[in-house]
Amino acid sequence: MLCVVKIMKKPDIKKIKPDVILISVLIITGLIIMLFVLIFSGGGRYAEIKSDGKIIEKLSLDTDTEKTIETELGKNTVVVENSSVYMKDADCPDGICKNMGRIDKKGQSIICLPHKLVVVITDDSEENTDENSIDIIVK
Amino acid sequence: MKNKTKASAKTAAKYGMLIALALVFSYLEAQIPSFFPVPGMKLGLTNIIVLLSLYRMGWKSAMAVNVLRIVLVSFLFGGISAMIYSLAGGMLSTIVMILLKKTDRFRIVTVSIAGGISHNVGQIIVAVFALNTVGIAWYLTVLWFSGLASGALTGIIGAELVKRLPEQ
Repeated sequence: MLCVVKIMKKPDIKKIKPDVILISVLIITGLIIMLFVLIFSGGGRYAEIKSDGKIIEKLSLDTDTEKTIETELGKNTVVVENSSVYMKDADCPDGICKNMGRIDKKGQSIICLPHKLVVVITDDSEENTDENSIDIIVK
Repeated sequence: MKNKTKASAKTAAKYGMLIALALVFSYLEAQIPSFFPVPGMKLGLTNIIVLLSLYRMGWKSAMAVNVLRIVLVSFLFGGISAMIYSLAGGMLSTIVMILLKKTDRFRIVTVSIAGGISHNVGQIIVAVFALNTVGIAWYLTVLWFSGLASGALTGIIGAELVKRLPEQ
């Protein structure tokens, strides 16, 4: 019985090494990709201004601009400066949006609740900025 | 002559059985898509069948079983666009697994893991072209590791099956 175990184990041990190497390479590659994604998704490229859920303005972060958004709910002034965005002025009662500071990373947002206004950083260059743009179910 | 007919009938039966099994697995998987948060993330149970045909019947049958299965599944449950994704992923993973098996240095589990990852990579390559965004890069990370996990799972099951089923 022992003999059988020994015979069976020998080729197994020989075979383990390349497996370990390949799997480690695959895991490390995955981690490198993750790192790259984290680095490159750090900065966004666009600031989307949404009013009541609809995108009404899309500003590139590369050019400094100042935009005043006027809706029936009120007035907000969004400023793009040095690749970051902040709410310069707003006539909303609480003024929280003005205190939310600068945002420059993908996914960050400034929200002015009373005016139903949202500024979101994205890196999507397409017009189709629907969040569910990946809508194909792969079987 | 008689022998040849007998052999081809046997082969046809085996192919039919394997493809039918693969279809069942595909169907089962199609029933639990909402289980995972990311589309494309799945168990890849059919990979067990591909592994089995690869190790028991050779690379040609592995490719044939996989391609036929994808075409059939797409006609039955999916659509043309789903078929393109599946074909890209399925072909790439099968090719990778065939090549790794040919080196004769890796265990079935390892081959399966590489296959699982390459399956997802193939799909993402198609997605990059189809959706024309690089914004799905994060998606690659998620699917890379999910491919690794599902490849390991199917590899373990597949290895057990290969060990238990007689070589023919």
